[in-house]
Amino acid sequence: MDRRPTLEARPPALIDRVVRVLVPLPCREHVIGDLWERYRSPGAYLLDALRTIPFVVVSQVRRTSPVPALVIQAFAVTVPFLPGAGLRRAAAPVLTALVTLVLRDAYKRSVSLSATQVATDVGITATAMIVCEAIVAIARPSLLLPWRSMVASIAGFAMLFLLRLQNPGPGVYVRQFTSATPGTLEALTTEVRLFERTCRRAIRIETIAGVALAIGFMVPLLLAPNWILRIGWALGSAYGLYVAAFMITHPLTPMPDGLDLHSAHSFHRHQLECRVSLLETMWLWYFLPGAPAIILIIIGSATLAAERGRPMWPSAIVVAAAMCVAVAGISGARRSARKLRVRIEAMTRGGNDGPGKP
Amino acid sequence: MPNSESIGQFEHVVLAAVLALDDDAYGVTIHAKVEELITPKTVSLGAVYATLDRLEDKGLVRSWLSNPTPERGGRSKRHYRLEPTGEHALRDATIAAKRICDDLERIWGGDVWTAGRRWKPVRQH
Repeated sequence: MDRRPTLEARPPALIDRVVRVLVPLPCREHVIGDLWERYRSPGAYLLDALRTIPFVVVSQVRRTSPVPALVIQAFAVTVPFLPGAGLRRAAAPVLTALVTLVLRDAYKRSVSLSATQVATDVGITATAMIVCEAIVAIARPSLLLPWRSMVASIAGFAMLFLLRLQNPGPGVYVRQFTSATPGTLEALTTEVRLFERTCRRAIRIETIAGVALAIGFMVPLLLAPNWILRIGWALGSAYGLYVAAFMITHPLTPMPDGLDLHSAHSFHRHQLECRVSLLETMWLWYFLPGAPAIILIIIGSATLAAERGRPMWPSAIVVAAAMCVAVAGISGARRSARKLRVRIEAMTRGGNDGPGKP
Repeated sequence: MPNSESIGQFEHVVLAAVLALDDDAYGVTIHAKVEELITPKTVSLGAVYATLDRLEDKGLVRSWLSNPTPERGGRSKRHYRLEPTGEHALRDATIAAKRICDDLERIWGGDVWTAGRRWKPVRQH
């Protein structure tokens, strides 16, 4: 049966426009094309679209929002609200922010490394949260966030901005390349320079975040009411400095100019292997040194809460959230390492078959 | 020899469809081929897309956009092709399925397809 639509048999413009809006941008071209090809009648087209779009959206969400990244972003958005608002009042704005982030990632054209795009994403999320609060103000004023939490959310969004700047999306680096392995020196050099740019940027952001953490933790260190908290904040501040120092002492060596294809392949493969090794051992050099500070801060906060007769559950939530973030961070690093390893394997295969080898 | 990526039953069918269609493997044709392979069951086009995305993420297939065609409102097709790892995974999954089939033939005796049908009335007694 020939199901190709003629010029007369095409979906009604309105239905087609609605369907087009609902299909995520990265797969819109071929999905709408396929739906057009299967067109028989407006009703069948609509039914076909309704049966297709949910799968396409879920698949796109799975690709653009890996669980580890989502957990870390949820942590960044939630933590500033909790002290002033509590879980009940924070639930609606936090959920709105997360859903907006997920849908924004699924529907945007492509993931880029630009800070403007990250700022736009965070701006859209903040706007969605404000709209949600406006609706809450009308529907259930008792659940409205206090002003203190609204102001604290600025810190959350700043943290979200840094996180997304550092982790623009899964496999951004690997997905930039359509070919399995660069066959020419020019293509390889382009790939290497992009990789170097991405790594340098990541190192720069991590260094700045480390210094900011070191300075930021000085304030609670000076104000801490008990010695456990003071030691915890001091260790946290030292951890920030350690991260910054680690980043400065582990720079990426740029590929020298004038290498031939085979040497450039070997050099880049070695650089990728070094990065994979760093990502695979991230729990050891990145997360573990921060653990004593977090443990002492949590113990100090729990002790303080017990002394003042306050509930202990906020400390328990912070413990659970910190553990989730650590697990998500380690899992995300391993995922990135796996993607890089796939690239290394592709390069090894290409290197063995390519023109660089006898 | 390294182990191939493990694939599910539906992924197996989709990989087989992509392999069978060769240069003509894109959303609509893959969906039609999958429905042909799993007859009398039906499946939505979206489920095929989701599986193709997953297979692409696993590195078992690769895709590219073709030139736009007028009968699709000037839109491109996303063509799919099996990667060597995909063929490897497909071969392994097919060997496993064949082994299951052979075993069932031994249990039921003779041809598994007719035996399956013969067996049903016996269970109803």
